[in-house]
Amino acid sequence: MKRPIKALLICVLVLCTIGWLTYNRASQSAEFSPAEIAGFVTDDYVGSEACKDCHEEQFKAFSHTPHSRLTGNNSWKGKVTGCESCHGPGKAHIEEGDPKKIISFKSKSSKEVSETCLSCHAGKEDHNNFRRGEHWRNDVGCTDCHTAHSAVATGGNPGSNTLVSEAERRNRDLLAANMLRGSEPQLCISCHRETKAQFSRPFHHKVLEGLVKCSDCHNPHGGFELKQTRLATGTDAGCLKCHTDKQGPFVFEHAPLKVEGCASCHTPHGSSNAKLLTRSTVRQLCLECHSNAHEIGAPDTPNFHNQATLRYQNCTTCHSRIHGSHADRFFFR
Amino acid sequence: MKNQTGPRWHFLWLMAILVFSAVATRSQQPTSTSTSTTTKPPTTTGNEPPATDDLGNYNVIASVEVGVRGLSVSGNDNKYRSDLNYGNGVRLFDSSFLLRSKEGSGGAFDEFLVTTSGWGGDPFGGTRVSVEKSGLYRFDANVRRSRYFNALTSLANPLNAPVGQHTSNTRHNFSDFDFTGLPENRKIRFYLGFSRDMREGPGTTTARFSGDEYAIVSNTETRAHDFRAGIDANLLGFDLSLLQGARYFHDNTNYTVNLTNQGNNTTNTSRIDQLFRETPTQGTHFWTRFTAHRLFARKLDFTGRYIYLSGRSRYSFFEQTTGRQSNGNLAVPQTATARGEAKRPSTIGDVGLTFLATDKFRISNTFRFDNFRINGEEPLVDVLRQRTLAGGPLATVTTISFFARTTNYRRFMNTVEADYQFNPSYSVHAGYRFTDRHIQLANLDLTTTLAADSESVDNRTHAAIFGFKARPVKAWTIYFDGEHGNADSVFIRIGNNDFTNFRVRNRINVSDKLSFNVALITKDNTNPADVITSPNVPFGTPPGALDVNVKSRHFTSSVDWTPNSKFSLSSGYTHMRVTSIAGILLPISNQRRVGESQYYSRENFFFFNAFVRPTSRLTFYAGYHINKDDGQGDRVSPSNVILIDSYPMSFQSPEARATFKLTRMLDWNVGYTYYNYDDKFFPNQNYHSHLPYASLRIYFGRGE
Repeated sequence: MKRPIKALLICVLVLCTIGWLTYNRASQSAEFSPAEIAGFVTDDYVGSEACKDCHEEQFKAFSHTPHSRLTGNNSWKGKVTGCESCHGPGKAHIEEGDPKKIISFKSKSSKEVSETCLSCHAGKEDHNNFRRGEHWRNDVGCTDCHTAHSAVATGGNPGSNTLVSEAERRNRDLLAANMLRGSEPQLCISCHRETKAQFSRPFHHKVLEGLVKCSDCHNPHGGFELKQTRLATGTDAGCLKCHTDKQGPFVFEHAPLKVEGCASCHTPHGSSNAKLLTRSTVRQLCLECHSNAHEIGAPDTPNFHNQATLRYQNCTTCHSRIHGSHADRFFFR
Repeated sequence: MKNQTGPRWHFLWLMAILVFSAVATRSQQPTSTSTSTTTKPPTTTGNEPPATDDLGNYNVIASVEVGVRGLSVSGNDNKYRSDLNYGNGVRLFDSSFLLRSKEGSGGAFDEFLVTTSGWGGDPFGGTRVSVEKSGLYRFDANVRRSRYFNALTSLANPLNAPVGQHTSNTRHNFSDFDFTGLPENRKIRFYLGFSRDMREGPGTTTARFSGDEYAIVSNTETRAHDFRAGIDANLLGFDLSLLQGARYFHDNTNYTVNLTNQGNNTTNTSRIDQLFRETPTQGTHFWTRFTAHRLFARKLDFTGRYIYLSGRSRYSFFEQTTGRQSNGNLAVPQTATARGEAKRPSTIGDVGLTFLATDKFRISNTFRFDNFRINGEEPLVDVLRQRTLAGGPLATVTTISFFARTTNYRRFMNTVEADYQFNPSYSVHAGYRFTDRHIQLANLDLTTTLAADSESVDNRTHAAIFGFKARPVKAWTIYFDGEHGNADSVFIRIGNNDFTNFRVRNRINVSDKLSFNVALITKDNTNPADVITSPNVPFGTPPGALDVNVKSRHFTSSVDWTPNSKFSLSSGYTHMRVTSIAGILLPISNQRRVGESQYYSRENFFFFNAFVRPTSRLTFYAGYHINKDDGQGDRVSPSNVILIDSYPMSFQSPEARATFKLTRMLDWNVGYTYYNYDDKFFPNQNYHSHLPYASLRIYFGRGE
């Protein structure tokens, strides 16, 4: 076995051992989320109604969120729900009026805030890699995008007629469903500003127009895929969710599609070049790979493809089935 | 090419009707606004939901905007439609309808939400439906439609004609329906899902016949249906998720020539009189995904995932061509047939572990294994029935061939990373990623001779990951991360070989009303061609002549200013540059020569959006954005083996909109959008378009 693979296995084994030891050591204390642990000490919990007297505004907003409805959910009976599921027992805080007697998130780090959310949300397939995701790594937490208290954004200012603008008049009510701080394209763009320029190019996926959402292709909560992209139909790249005719399998595959992915030729966010290509002329794109290349699969450009003539400068004119073909090994038909 | 699409009469009529109806509505309800203002004072805070109308036990928040849009395009209509494709006529610009139970729990549902945008003739339209009954179910539907038009000068254009030979005018409908049973249940949840994808419409592409190429008509028709069913359960402390899916794909696209086509080379003898081609394909993809997650003792976060996909395509190919061959004989007809299949089993296995060593220190390890194997075969029978030009008989030529292809792919990837939180304001992270890939390609061609070959490519990549977050003052946050990696070989020459990426983002929130954002992203990738892999490289080629160097730089800055509820301004500037220089082999006059492919992009993007409300009844919106790419500048190629290319152009769009609040329930809008595309290399693609519009927005549950 080669050395790097050995090193990998050792790393995995060490981590597993640490985990196993930690699990055994901590197994005397039951494995419960903070909300569940709190459920056993009922005397300290006073219920969300008690919070309403002082925090009326937050309570009113919270009462319209999906969190507030857990109280009536059978599977949450006996568990702490409402304000105290995140802020902890409120009895001492109410009796003494001391802000220190309640959990406040104002001075907590993004990761600490996220840990509170993950105590309930980590189990879902969409969320269970958050602790290894790009946002976690860069200390971007749940409440940077979501809000536990806010209801429907008031928004509604007039904006662009064709684009989902900052003024956000479209789909604003969707914010309530996922408790987001803003509409999705604009929320993501507020940090990933360069994407606005990319999505404004002549050729682009219609994200700013509202047809496609960032989260259609990316999982903001992390994932095993690089760039947190989503998968489509099992193991396939997210692009194939909509571009179904490129999925194959083809008898004659253009190997880079399956090996390197669509982004080896296309810029998915937007491009001035037709078909979202990374180069303005197709032959540049083809020649950059089909030079000094492998013997099969990607041979060098044949001698008779005289680049001094227009005929051979338009590679995909003949190789029209460049994504894969059942009928021709040269992708002619 | 000049093309003019003028406003139609019905547009003018509808505009007049809308103006009239708006004025009439305003005059009929002069006091209702003041009444509502009295009964519902505008005390809504930013945190509070807006006031609503009632429908039984539900609150209603809804709005719909309907109107008409005019269109005038001067310049290249094909390019306009390829970029934008907005049309004129009546529009349902957008709408939203939310029913929400007053008590938090309703009858059949607690919340019912429908939003739409872009229906009624716009090139892209979408409807999203979300229905939820807390504790019982959640249903989401997403129905979308895109009209895709593409007819460009710059693509597949060997004759340098106004429009290339690959065009599309297709309609793409895609929809997703997802049902979740017991969505908030802590022990068990159920999933059912269905997706439909349909693409159809005419276009053109190219066919080859007897040494020439021909523009032919294509009739695209593809369909995919996805079915999903799954279950989430909490068992023995594990969060388990099992999802089973199936996709059924059909491609019934056909290609035709019905009139004699002389081909791109009109000086040779070959021509197509008739052509019919189809490759009806049925694809099936069955897949299973299983994930398990558990937090052990609140110290060790474990996630495991396994996905298996079995993909298969069955096809039958038929092509019949009647015409004249390059040798002057007639094909009456030439028929090619094949029937076969391709298979692709594919597996992904992932294990992620995060050890929460302390409250501030965490170590993670993510391991991935994935592989696939694609096998395909084509038994091809080609029968050429031919006659001489004078009609004399010639022998039928039958060619039987067999082709088989195999692609094997296997990858291990492991990432170890750690992060440390000094305090809420400062954190660092660092890691190491190792990738090991093995790719094997094999072919077998049985024609008049038997040829078989295979080739393997192994490559290993080592990459370091690092970064930090810092908040030196409360208002200023810096995010920095970088990655440097090195591979011992690459599968494609422009793939990541020796790469360094940096990203730094600054967010400066001076106050709730004023914020700045400044970011820089750099990517450098070099692929030193130390090893000449191809025997076709001319003898004596100097080292470095076939290197590949790709650099990109993105600088972004923006400001958002909302001093009060009556005014807001958002503006920004982005500079994006790409410089790619790749050594290439360029065949010129039957000889491969060492050359260079240079690509340049020097793009500047600027935008602003402003909103102002001078009075309680009148609001203005103005927006502008421009993408301007200077491309290669004044660089010109010194020889025919140096390809210098870029796409210098500018694309800009100012937009203005005025909204008059007529009543609590009704706004009248009038606006105008202008698009200007200016192309330096293909000036015949330039266009200007004017899109005026007028609309009414009707509200239910409006707060003020």
